[in-house]
Amino acid sequence: MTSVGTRTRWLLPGVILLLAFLQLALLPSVAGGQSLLLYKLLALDSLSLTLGVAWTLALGLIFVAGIARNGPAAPALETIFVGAGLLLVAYSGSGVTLIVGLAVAGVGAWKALRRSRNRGEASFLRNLLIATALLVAAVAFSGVRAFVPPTGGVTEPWNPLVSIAAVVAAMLVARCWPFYYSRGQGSSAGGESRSPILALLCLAAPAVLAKMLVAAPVQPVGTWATVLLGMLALLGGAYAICAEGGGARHAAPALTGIAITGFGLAPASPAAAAGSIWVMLTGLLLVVAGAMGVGSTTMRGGRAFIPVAGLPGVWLISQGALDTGYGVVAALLLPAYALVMLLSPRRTEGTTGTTSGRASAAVLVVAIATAAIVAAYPQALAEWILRPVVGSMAGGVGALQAGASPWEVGLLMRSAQETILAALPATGVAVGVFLAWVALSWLKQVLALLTRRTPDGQSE
Amino acid sequence: MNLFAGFSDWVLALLPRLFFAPGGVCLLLAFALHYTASHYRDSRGTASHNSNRTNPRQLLHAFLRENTPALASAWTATALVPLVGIAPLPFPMDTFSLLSLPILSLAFDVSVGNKKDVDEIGEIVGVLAITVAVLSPALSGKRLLLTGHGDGNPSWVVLGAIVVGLVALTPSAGLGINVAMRWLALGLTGLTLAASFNLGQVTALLAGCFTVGLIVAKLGWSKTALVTACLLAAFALLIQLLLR
Repeated sequence: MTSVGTRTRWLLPGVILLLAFLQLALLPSVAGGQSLLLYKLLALDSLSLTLGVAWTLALGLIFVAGIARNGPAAPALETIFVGAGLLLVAYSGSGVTLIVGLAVAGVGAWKALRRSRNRGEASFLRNLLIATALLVAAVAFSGVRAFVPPTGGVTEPWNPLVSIAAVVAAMLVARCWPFYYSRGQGSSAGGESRSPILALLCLAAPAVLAKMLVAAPVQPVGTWATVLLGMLALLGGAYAICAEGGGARHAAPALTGIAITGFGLAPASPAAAAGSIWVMLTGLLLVVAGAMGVGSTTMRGGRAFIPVAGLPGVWLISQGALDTGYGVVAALLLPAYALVMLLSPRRTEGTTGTTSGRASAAVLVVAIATAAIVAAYPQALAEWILRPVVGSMAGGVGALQAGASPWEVGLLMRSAQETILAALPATGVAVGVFLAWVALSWLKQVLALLTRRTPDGQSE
Repeated sequence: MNLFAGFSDWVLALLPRLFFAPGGVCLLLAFALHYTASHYRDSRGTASHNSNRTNPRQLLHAFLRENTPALASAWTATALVPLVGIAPLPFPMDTFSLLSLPILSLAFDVSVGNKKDVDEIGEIVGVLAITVAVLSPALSGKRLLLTGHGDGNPSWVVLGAIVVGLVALTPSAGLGINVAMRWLALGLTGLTLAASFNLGQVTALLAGCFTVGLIVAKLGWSKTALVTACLLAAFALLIQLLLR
């Protein structure tokens, strides 16, 4: 009986993970920057495929974590709702599909919140309803536009009101500051740390803006408002983390703020669009790792790699901000991201359980290793994923020409005049850190032998 | 041209920087700074959890207990600073990349959580204040890669924020070799990027900051210095915003 029960428990995550890999079969259809539109409802391009695969994979791993940690019964129905909704959002071909997808995913997340008796369920439902209403109003105002690049190459930009409505809707769904945070709410009940599905939905919310940019750019007023709201969400999230003395609960909303900021800058800077997609994708590692619990001291040390994977994305947005004259954004992004990165691991012991089981530890190791590889060799992600994804947003974002990547040492940003604007020698730095690490380890071994102590300083 | 030629050039340029100057020298200096600061802390009795780090043998044992990736990140940061008078790296490093390394080092320490909360928060605030100050000149530029190190006209507010931030962080160097190494990395990065100081000037300024930092800590003004550094960083940001 037990083995049958175990098999049944593992069936749904198995199906979800299989679905993630099956989507890769669609890869030939989007090769060469092609995009397909089915009845103005579903669209298939590099952006859709990337988001669809990433979200499904993350959802499957979150489910695996839930089982591996021997927590409460895995919420199968809620997971199916969230998964179906997110797939609809990823492959949405127009605003109608996107709204339906967001609503379905939101209902799934709300049910998951109810199951975990989270005190934030009422506010989440309210946020979801307002966000849906805003998006419906935006579609009614702008008409149903297909999320594909215009055939003629020129299209009418989105009305600023529509773009602002989309940003506010994304912030509401993601529960960014000021739409969720209040000191009396949820600090003990927990939020994203106890509900990774909610954190996943949070990081998926900026896709609303990405989808809009596939079809058309945003007017400068809309850009300004989007950047302002995105920075508000980021700084508010950072403040919330400070106010609570740490904790991972506000990390995902703060990352959402960064992604929104990048999408705001995207019509004038393709690098910013690439940075936003980067933050959305690498943020999923944080969500998956968060679902795995704290783990051993070694694991906790390794978890520091996970937010580091997002640094190239923040770097891209920072240079994008300088390109477009938003210097304040460039000056504040790194410190705000660093604050989130440094304070999120604090107070995690009280809000999440410890890692248990080999499956959970294995997934955590995979997440840490992926983050380390992405941080040390960002060229691969930039060239193989980001360039086609940004290329598929041709209606609102230019081609990512500036982000030329010399494969050996790191990423470079060049202007049209071939002047180097920014340089991130990630692989070179990783080699330096590795060499220093090895040298220090050997030095410690030698000193430990000389002083008759273990390499961690304990007496033998 | 070989595909890996750039990588090979980078490693060949990195090795002497990492193991000799400035990285190797900074590693030795970090031991000295930590030893001095921890000895001072002991005499003040402000860090009881560190009270056994007053002789060279104990210092060695303290090194064995340090978080290796955190120390490695800070050490690499000191090796990569584009100091005036030292041959440049074959691949440039922008302000963002340089400032990321001390933050990464701090992240490794924070994630393991082996420091006392109050010191950890103080260091985070200090590091972020210096980061904001160093990044603030980016407001008036179009790129993260700074050239000419401020073209010989340092922003005195930016420089002030960095110096006061370093002064405020000095007592923390007594907490560990990692912290001392980060202090050096931040100092070298900040002072080099903020103004066109040569190696001698940077060294003199760092020595001055450390000495003043110890005096300020003795007077019990470290927190005041930290707040001042934050205010100066915010002021630097504001000035750059207004001068655009």
